[in-house]
Amino acid sequence: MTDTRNDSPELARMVEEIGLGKLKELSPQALEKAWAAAGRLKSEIPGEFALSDEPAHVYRAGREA
Amino acid sequence: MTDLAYLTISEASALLRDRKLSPVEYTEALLKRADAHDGLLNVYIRRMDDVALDAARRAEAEIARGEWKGPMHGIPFGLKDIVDVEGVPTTAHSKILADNVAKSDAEVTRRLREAGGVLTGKLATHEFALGGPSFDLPWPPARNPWNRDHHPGGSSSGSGAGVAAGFFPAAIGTDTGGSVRNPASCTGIVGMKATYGRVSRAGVIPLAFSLDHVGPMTRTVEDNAIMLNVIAGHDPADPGSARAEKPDFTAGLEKGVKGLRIGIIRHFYTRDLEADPEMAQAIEDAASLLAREGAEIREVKVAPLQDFATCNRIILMSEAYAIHEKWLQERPRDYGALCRERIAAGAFYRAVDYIKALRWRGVLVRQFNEAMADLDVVITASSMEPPAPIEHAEEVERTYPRQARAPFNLTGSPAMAVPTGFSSAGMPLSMQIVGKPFDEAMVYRVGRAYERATNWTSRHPTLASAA
Repeated sequence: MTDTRNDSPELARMVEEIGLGKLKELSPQALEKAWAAAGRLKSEIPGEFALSDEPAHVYRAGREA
Repeated sequence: MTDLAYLTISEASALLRDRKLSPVEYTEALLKRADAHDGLLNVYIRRMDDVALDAARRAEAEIARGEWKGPMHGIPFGLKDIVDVEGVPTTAHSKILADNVAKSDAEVTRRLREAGGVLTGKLATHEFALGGPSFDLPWPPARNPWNRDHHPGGSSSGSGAGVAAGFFPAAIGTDTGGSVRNPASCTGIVGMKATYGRVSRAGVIPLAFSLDHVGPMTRTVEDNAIMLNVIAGHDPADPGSARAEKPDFTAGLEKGVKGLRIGIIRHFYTRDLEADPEMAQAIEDAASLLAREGAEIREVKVAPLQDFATCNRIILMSEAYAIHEKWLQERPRDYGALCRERIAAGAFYRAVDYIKALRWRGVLVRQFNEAMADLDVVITASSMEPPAPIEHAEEVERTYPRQARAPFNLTGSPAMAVPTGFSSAGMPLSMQIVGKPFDEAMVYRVGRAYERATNWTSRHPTLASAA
């Protein structure tokens, strides 16, 4: 399967770095959609957090846990 | 004898205990029902008739000896096929794991079997509990018993469809962004995602470690509480397992809602997303009913639904990619197209994006817990509309994300989908009842009060035969 659309150089570089060459060969459109979806969601992360806003790293749902 | 297919666990259990119903007769009846109808519904990936009948015969002998183990003894149940059963493949409905034979039972499997439950087989799921209804996998997608042209929700699609179709009264599903509650909503049954850490995930194929929950799916609220009684509890094999005290979840079911403070998060389904009018009206009717039963209803505002959805998605995809990276690099052809594309998105988040999402999660959880502080539960939408036609890929893709379930995977709160009636087209409607951490008993209490006043859970689909 081939896709004649122009790759973004950034996407092409990332695909190379992260070892998804086989997937790019199989379904370049899927990779482009996935890349676009990730970019869209990342842009929605709030820009600022308080220094005290720690990650919910080891998640516990309540003090009882 | 009542129709065995639609006995509740509670009803069947009383008959089994009193030896008015044989576990073997009961199991055989439900397997025959699956023989007749599953060709059109695709609930099962793997039937385990011999294993089931052995377990049923064992239960019959034990009960005859006076060794009744409790309300799950002799009750048939199914497992979503990401849950391990010793000696049986756990496929995740994927070619990737077609030969992945489990070395031991998952903890939920072990607990259900120890309680005398009769495992009838492994059930359809969306691929790796992530994709959607797909036609390019080794097994076909499950279909909705209320109308087989529609999807049954997912990812615990076979669990929901099988319970609604009367193939078993209980099933196990898993829920990372809503995958117990979505099929429950789409098939008109009850699905509980208990508090994070309440039910062990050991022996269950992970999708996203910090969001995954295992949950019971049944036709009634009482049955759901019965099943949670069996599967809940600390398990040192699950790093996220809580040491919280486990009450009897059936104990307060009939207490009613008089004097309870029930919040309603309207903006999720009126402003953040606009629900189908019938779905929204059913929730308003439920709020009115609960008020008539004596509850105080208060409108509650929390962060916009989109914030919860985006935060959930970034965490989910990042964690899922960490699990799937090697397979996606080496065997991309062995995934279905939908799952492959969704997992690939996780490749493009950096560590800083994931950490920011986790910080965001902390903020959202804190805000939600503040809003819940002087409430007993909140109600809100589950799905924004009834399930779409399964072969209408664009409509499935458009409507699947239109849901209000993901917030409670982030918060870890107990959240249960309960039926609220039927659309004019005859498809199930549903809402969620959400509680404070480790207060599943309150969620069940409110759900049972609503169920008792409406009785939607006593309606069942009419099935077509495959032959």
